[in-house]
Amino acid sequence: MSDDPFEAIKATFFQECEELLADLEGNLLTLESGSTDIEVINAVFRAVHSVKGGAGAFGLENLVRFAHVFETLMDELRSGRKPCDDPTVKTLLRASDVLADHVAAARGAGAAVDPVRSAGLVAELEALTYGGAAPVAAAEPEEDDFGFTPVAMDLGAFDAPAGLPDLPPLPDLAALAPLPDLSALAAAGGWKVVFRPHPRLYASANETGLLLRELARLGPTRVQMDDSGLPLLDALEPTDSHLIWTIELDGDASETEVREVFDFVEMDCDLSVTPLGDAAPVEAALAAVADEDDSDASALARAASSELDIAALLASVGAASTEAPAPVAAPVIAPAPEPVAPPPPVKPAPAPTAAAPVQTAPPAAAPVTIRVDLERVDRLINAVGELVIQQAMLAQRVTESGLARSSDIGLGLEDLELLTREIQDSVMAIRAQPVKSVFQRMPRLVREAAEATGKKVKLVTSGEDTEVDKTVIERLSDPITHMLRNAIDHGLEGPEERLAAGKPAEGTVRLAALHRSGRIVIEISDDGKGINRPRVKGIAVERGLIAEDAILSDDEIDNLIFLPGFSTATEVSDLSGRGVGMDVVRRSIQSLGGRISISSVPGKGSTFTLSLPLTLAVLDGMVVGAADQTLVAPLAAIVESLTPNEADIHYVGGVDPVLRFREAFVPLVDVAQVMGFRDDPTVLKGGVVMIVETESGQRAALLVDAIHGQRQVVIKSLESNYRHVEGVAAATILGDGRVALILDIDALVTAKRSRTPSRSDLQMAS
Amino acid sequence: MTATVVLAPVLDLRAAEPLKGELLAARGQALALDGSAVERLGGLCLQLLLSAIRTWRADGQALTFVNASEALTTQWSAFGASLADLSAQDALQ
Repeated sequence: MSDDPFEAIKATFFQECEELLADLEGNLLTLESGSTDIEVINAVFRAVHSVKGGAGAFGLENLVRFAHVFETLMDELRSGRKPCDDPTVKTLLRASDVLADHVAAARGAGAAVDPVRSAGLVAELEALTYGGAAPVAAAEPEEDDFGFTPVAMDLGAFDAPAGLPDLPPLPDLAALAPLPDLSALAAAGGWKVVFRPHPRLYASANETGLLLRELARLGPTRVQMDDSGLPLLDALEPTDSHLIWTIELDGDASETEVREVFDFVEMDCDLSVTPLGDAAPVEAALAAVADEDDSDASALARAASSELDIAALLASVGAASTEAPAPVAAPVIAPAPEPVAPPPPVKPAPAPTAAAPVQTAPPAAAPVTIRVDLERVDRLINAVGELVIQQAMLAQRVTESGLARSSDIGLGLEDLELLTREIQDSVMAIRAQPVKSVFQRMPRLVREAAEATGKKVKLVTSGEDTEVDKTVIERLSDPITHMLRNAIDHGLEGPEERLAAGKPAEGTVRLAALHRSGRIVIEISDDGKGINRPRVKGIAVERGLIAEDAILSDDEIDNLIFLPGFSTATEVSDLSGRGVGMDVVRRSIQSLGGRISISSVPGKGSTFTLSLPLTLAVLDGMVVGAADQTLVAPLAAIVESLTPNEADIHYVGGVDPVLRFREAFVPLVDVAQVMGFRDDPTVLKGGVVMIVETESGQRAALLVDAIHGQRQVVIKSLESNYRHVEGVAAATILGDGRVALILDIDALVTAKRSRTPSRSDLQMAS
Repeated sequence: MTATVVLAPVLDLRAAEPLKGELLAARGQALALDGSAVERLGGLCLQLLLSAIRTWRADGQALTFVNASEALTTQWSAFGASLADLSAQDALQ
């Protein structure tokens, strides 16, 4: 956090921008999928508008200018004057990319925005907004989006101030973009604007007079000035602000246009914009604007509005509760319909008390959230981790002291354990976030990758709401990005080739997230040509990665692409990068305690599967002993445990032990031997076997000396405290204070396998 | 005795502080505000002038605008301020 309050506010703005841009893209994708929900269009409009508003306050001109053009088109779409068709949504999606670029540039985080691209999109957006002058007469809405019915106004009764037409134009604000053709706009029935400048407004060289003139450009205005709060001269600070203006604007300007006038001063004034003739919101607005000493005005308004409500009540049910006005007055956005005209007395059925909630029900209440410095959450998580360890140690001490589990202390300890667990789960939940934040960045990437390669690509995502720890999410983005690019660059064929192969010209890339046995699994699949195995093998031989005569299974050939320095692209393309191959992806996944696997069918496509722990903080594990060492095996990987019969153990080729297990043979891995705790491979008697399943679904039997029990352990990184050890995922501190290593099951099984690669295709002869 | 304050052409943020000084200096006597040079009137100076009108009224002294320029009149009314304050007192003179 910066000490400079302005910088802090700006940082918050950019944080919000990130969320807004994510919402924006999400909603645009909803539109792309064929939705025509007006709420979605409104949400897009609001997101762009909010970005623009904030940007205006910080004087980020380029951003404001672009957002303005974007917003203008959105305004056309939400009013139904322009159709929200597929080409439009595609343009909007690209515009959202450029908007994100502008935000990044303004933040100083990204490269400068490509001016040609930006200008090109501005032109496209404007063409969609103003172009195709063909009238869309049918789309002329009868109501605006606030459900407000226009009230007929006698404009003739109003005489405009004589001097106004002579005022000089104000190019600065208006020059941001051409104002939309006012005649094309729906009649909104006019607006009531209550405006109270703060001293800051003047201090930052803005001027009420200019704002009033800008408003007058939108239509005939009546300006009322409230100077009741103005002190006598001695008490008047020349830079203080004491006046409140109420402007009634007639004509057909939209709310957006009205608010635009105040865009640059939004944070330096109190402002309310309500439809003319709408009593309830005005009361709310006045109440908000009114100072302590302006209570008369708000009381007056309250009286006025309750008078209207009483009239309505009398007209409908007569004896309705006097509480009724409250729900009507509360939401400013969705005012009750036409409070000016009482409902016809012939329709007594819908009592306002019943009707009001339907009319004014706010959209699903947004959950209340706070922003917390991540560091604080991390501290909390660390502390809870220590708490779990302490609790385990305490439990062990109690057991060692010979106290019965049913003793008071034993029972109290059990409660403590439950409570600890609950606290831990809750703390973890604080950091859990849906993978949406990562997935939402991908459509853009796919668009750009498709553009760069000239391929047609459709991205299908699923499971965006799958939650995973924030630290995992942050580190998911790069691997997914890389693999998606790979899928498009290397996996998918060009349109002609696809058509020739009898596939649709447009390739599909799927990105899915799901929870599977306590881990998060990310699948990236394409319907491309699959892995060209002869070529992969040829390259591996060429680069000296494998022996020329090596006999490899399909699976093993596929996995060659994860070898360091392996790249199948004949030419290094811009897209997939230079020299950064799948090995880097694999390493970054592994550093998260995750695994990556691939399956591929020639001509049908490839699927990459990432499997990651949900959190990097705790793990449910089985504590086992092997050659006097205490180890922890992740519970999620364990299928079952058993004591093997010697008769069930066979040796493949006389060397590699396998275990007969439910009428199948699984490789038997002597953990102590693989980990290097002991050299003697033959100590199989008296051991216990855990049947484990790797991420790729492969089963193996891990042989250990004893199983001590199941426990939740706090993960301590071995990499950051020591270094990476093959076969070890991390370490933990046990109840007795000793360090135990957490096994990396897949690595153990693979290590076992990789020692005998040339024999792996041998059929078992038992 | 009537003091005269000539209003500056540009009555914006920067003019507010000096204007208050000039107005206060003329307190306790009838005041004529010469608005002939005014080209631009901002919200802060508007406040000062409105407050001055009140203050002089409270003091029982006369405050009049003389030769209000067209710009002053126009902008005064665009603010929603009462033209009577400008012209009626002008007529008193």
